Amino acid sequence: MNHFSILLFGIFIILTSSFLGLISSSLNQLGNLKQSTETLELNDAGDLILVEGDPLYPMKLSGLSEQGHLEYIKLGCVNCHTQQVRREELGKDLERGFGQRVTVPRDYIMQANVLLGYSRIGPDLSSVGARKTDLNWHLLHLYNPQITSPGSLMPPFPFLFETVEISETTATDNALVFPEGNPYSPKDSIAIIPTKRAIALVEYLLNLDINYNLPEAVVTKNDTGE
Amino acid sequence: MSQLSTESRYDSLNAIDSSINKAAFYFIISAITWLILSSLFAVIGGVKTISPNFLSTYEGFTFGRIQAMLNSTLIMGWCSNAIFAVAFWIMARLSKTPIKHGGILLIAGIIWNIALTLGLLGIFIGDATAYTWMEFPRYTSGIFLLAYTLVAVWGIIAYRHKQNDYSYVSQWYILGGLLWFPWIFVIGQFFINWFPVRGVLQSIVHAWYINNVFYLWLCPIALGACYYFIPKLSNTPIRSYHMSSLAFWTFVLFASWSGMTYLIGAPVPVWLTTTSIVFAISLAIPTLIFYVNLIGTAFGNFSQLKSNLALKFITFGSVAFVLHLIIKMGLSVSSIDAVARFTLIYEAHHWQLIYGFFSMIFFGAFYYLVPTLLNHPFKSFFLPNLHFVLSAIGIVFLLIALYLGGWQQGTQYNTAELSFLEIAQNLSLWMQLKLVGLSILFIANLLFAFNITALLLSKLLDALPSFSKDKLNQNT
Amino acid sequence: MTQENKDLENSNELHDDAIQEIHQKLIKDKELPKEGFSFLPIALIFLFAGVCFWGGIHIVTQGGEFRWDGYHPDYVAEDKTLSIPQKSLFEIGEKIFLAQCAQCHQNDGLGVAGVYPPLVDSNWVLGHQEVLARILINGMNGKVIVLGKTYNGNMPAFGPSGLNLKPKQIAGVLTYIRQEWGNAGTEISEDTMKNYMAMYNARTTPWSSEELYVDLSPEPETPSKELDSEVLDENNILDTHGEDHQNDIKQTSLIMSDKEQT
Repeated sequence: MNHFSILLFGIFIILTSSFLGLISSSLNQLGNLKQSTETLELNDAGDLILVEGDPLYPMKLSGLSEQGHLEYIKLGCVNCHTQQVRREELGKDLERGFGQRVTVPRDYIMQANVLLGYSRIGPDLSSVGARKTDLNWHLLHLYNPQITSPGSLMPPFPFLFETVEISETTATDNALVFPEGNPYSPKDSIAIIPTKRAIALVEYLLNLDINYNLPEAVVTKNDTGE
Repeated sequence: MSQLSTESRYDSLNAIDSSINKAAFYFIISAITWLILSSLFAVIGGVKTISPNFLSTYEGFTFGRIQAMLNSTLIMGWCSNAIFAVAFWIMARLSKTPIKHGGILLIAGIIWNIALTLGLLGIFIGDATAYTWMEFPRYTSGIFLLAYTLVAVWGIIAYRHKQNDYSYVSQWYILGGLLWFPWIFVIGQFFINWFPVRGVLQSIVHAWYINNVFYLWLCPIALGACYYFIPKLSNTPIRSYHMSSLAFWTFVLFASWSGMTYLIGAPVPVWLTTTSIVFAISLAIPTLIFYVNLIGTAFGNFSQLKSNLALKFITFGSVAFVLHLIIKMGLSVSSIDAVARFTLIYEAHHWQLIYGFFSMIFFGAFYYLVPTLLNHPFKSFFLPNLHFVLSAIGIVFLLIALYLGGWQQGTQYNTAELSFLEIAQNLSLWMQLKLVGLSILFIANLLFAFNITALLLSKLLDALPSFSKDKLNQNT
Repeated sequence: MTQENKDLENSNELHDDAIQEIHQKLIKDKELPKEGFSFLPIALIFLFAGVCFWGGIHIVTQGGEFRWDGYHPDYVAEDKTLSIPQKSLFEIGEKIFLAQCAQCHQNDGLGVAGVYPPLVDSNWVLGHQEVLARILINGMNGKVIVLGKTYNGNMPAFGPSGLNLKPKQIAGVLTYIRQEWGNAGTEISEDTMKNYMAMYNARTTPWSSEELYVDLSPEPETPSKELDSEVLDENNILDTHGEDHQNDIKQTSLIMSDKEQT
């Protein structure tokens, strides 16, 4: 029986140690990070304080971007796309222009779900909003990636779009603009209208941008390498 | 060797076996069902990486959701059900206690599978969480927990008066695994789904969760099975057995601390990853002992290895496991990580653990367990042997495709002149090989299901005439 | 009956009881007697020692000093603080202007005809620094003639009686409007601004355009170091020297990060 208690105690202590050592301690270190301004200021007491009136980073996502964030999760984008920029000696993230600086914990504090990702079948998206600023490009890319990046392994998401016959009564203001002579373009009489979900997802993507300074991480690369 | 007479020992074994029969068969059948389903998802996912337009008009079949359903069915379906089937039986055998109140286990199993079914439907309609290997929607986590609580209740009821002799290392691994799992599960769900922590803390908890589900839930149970079956089937005591307790303590300690290697280069304080790297490298110690203990013993009695089907599976699994740990050590070296990170290599590494190690061990265990529980041996070993050959070929194919493809992907990624699109296109050959491997595994799993079902049916057919004969006798 | 049970029938297998008994014995006997020399324990001892030695060193040297902001294995605590970018007054001013002033004076500084006066080429903007400082600190009321047109507006205060901007921020805004859109005025330094704020912070009423040119002190020259040093204490003089300034920040940022950790 003595043997058994030692066994139970060991089983307990091992997982506790790893929980305390890895999770509790990082909760303690990172649990209180707040937004910051791009520059800090010395006050009279000699502390560094936020500059009043400066925008706070990382910015909070707008309502629409927040919906897009949820769409991103729903569609499982995280299975092929990362949102993190590693330091120089670990890979060519900076050189490839995935961001102008490495990412740090503070970049993620305003996100409901942190989508660091684990696989790069597709490119990193942490600054995709700075690289690809065109709304129509993103919509086309979601509608069928073969239009914008032929040979891509990304699946198309046609269910995020509505196909409508062009007539005088249908509103086609926000219909997708296809490049001339693309084999994937629909017939002339048909318009592809993005649904709210597609708009929200693209809004989220356009807002992904880590190219701001934080006290602990300063933009180093100035060429986006696009 | 034992004071018990053959007769009484037989009776007690039979009592143990029949005590668990109903629950065990329920778990075996559901494990196999989920296995087939998961390999179907794997094949669909494999096709989609080659031709992205496949099934693309259906939202439920988009690649991300297929991947989420694959992971959930593997971990919560196949692996967990297989564990419930085998772990309790080994425990009962080694502690010589019949399993009482097996009905509670059965109810737990039913609730578990309801949770998983609900979870899969949830993922299908888009309720998956954003965290790999714990994608099942947050509303199902409570049901899983309820099911596992029933298992715990059963454990308390069944063992309350027992002074068990926990002298053999298999019992340590299995007891540990069964106690760790609910804890890991609750911590993961608590900090990510129920009361989410902020920022990258979610990723830290997530990495801890994945790592511990793999190395403190799947691995201990499978290792427990290894330590039970290898000496038993090869009729040889474990070589250098006195080292096995050292292997137990070092493995679980180092493995539980090595989780942050998933976050090398990620935006977390660097001391977290450095600490985990050190513990990952320290896994060399248990790895060496596992090599001598398991592989040394299995190959020590080569004639048994050649003739015994279950032993073949289990030896294959042990070799895959030792290689898996060596690769894990390698992946935590930062210059190797610089190539391997975010490539197919990590996918390969997970497949190697789940298919190469865990599944192979449990295929072997099932091939031993089912005939024993049924008291009905295989008439022909041709199809089971074919299953072994197919599984082995499929796994080797899959792993080679993913490791080599991943290495190519990583080196090309670090060649900045190559555009991202080119790298993805260059992967297509490896993706095709991966699909071939997955398809072979799918066929192998179907064959596995067929073998087990055929055995069950032939037992039923055998039982039928004798039953009617008995009835006849009673009537006259 | 016995033949039916696979366990007992197969003499090639170890029985469950035997598994436990044999291995129990093995723990006591350590090794099977037939093995004379064992490689495993020696290898393990070396491995253990090696791992402990290397692991200890590795954690200490590559651990980022166990700090929340150490993201690089070679991280040294002091280095990090140098990375805080020092923004020029112009850049600081640009941000604040766009956030606070551009609603009325517009992004292009041209104002709105008849309502908000323009800043481009305005003699008010490019003229005496103290006038400008007075307007910003306390606000301005009543009629004002800018570039030949009369405006009757209400400029809010940005000093302590209003939005309560810091001297550096007001200096930034003033520098910005004096140097943007082709304006070619001098920079208004933070020290000059501190000086003015010391003089006018107490005032609570806005200025009128007549009052503004009364009792002006001589305009500081740029760079204003010599003139200002009369009113500054020793610390502030040190502060204006680049190196010492950075050292200051170094120490203070340590304080900051300590606070964040808790």
